[in-house]
Amino acid sequence: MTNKLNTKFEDFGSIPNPEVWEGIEASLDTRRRKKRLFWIFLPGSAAVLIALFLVMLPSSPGKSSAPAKIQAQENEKSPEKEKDGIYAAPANKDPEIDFPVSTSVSKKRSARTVNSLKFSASTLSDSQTASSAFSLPGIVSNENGTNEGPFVSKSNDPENDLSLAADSLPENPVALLDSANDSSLSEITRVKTDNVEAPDPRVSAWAFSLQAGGWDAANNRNQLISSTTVPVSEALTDVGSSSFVPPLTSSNSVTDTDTISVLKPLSLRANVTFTGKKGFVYTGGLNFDQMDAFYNEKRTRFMSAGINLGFGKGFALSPRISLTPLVTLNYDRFILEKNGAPPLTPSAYQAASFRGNQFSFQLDLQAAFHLNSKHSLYLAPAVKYYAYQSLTTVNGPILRRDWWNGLHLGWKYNF
Amino acid sequence: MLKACLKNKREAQKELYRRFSYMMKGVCLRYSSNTSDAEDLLQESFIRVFQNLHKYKDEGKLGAWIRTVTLNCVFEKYRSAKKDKESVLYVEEYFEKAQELDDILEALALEDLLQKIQRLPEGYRIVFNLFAIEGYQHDEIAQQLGIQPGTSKSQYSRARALLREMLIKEGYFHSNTVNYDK
Repeated sequence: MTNKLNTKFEDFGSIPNPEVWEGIEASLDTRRRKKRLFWIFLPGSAAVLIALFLVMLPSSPGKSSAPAKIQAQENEKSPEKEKDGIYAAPANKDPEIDFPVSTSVSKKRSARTVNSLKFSASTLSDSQTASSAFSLPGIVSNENGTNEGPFVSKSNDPENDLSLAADSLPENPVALLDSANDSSLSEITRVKTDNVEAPDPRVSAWAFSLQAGGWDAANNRNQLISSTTVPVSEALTDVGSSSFVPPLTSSNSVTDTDTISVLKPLSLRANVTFTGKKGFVYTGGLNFDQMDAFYNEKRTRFMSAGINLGFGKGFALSPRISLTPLVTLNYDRFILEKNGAPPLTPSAYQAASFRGNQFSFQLDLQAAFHLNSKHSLYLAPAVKYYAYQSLTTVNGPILRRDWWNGLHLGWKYNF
Repeated sequence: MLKACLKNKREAQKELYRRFSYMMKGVCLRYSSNTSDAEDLLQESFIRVFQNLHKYKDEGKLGAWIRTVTLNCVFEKYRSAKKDKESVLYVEEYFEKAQELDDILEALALEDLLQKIQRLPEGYRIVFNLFAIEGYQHDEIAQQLGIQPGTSKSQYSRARALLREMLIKEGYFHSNTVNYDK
């Protein structure tokens, strides 16, 4: 029976309801949208998290580099202090120890406590107990920068000083000394002797940068968000080409549901950047983009130029590496359109597909490697949301919008 | 067309759907109790086809691959439904006039036969389709549906018994009545 029934149903079929395809299409669209959102939000979320982490971090290694440098300079200017052994740091020989924020001791105690902690090893004698050596009367204000006891606080608030001092009482000062002697002192010596040439992004500076890279359209479909209806004749006049040919006719128009497939612009940018107080970055410059649009499997090339204005904040991850999230607004205008790029332009129609103005909002995450005090290289992943005028339909100029993902390489020269 | 489908070109996807949906709806109708369920199954199957098209190797016929995807949807649906209800197995023999039933089923009009298959309970319907029409063996059916081979055999027997009862009611048979209370 099997074979016979199989044969019976072999050519059996039925035309499905059109709603089935609509359901499939809707499901595929939803999936694509989710996928796109995932790829937009994943790097975006990562960037935000990194930025938040850097902002919230009370004492990052990058932040400690500038004070270390300043302190090292102070050492050079204060031979007396060095003579007294305050800053020189050979282990087990120096009686007095300074604990900067960046030492390994900060792992054991809070940064605030350690920052205010100075004590003299010489004040500890065998006969003294720990409690007497670190007694409260030894705590005085350090407004004049003098060391008047085993603990020196730089705060003006005596009440706070007491609490700080109480906080800073080590449970076992000898153990603390031991740990300081071996690891932290060598760390101090290393930090102080480093000749850090790379610029701290938080230090005010002017720079010039050149950037090149590419964009990839986040999706293949441009979405219509507004349109103005104009007669076909007017649209043709507007394009300004006597050789304007079909498919731009009233019966064969491009609509917002047509696919202008992947746009892959190459991007060049020349900018001047000013880094102000607290690492805030202000930038502005020129954009130049070459863009390939694929329509009906044919390529058309366009070029646009414009300006950008941006704002961001720089974070030093290490003496040589910094991270700068930047928000940029771009204005671009298509400078080659219509018949502007033969023979790559298949027809006047396709060349006329993009024209007019483009506005975009862009988020960059510049990860820079500072070669030296003058030159830096950076890599900048970016996302861009843009809207542009287009003339692809008999409806006249319309506004379209889309997401792009980008990756750029840059070189920066500090003045 | 396949390459375009893999690039998520909607026109190509629609063309693929247009070519195979007619045949696949026929398959779905056999595994469903009504047209609405069949179209739901068809929709689910094609969504899965587009999502897994990259797994298709250009070795066999695309139609056969799509059919396999559809059957996998059927299996999955059955397995998930099976978890919700306890299967009550009746391993009993029905004394039927086997050859007579086969002859009548083969002689039935296609729409009439389809209607009767659709009236079968889900488990019976799936096993009957897989065994009698697709040519699966009971071991394979059991593996795919996550049941015992004996269960597959008994469900097939019960499906035949139910079909026979329907035919008796319509006057095709004049012999003993079969109790098919579940």
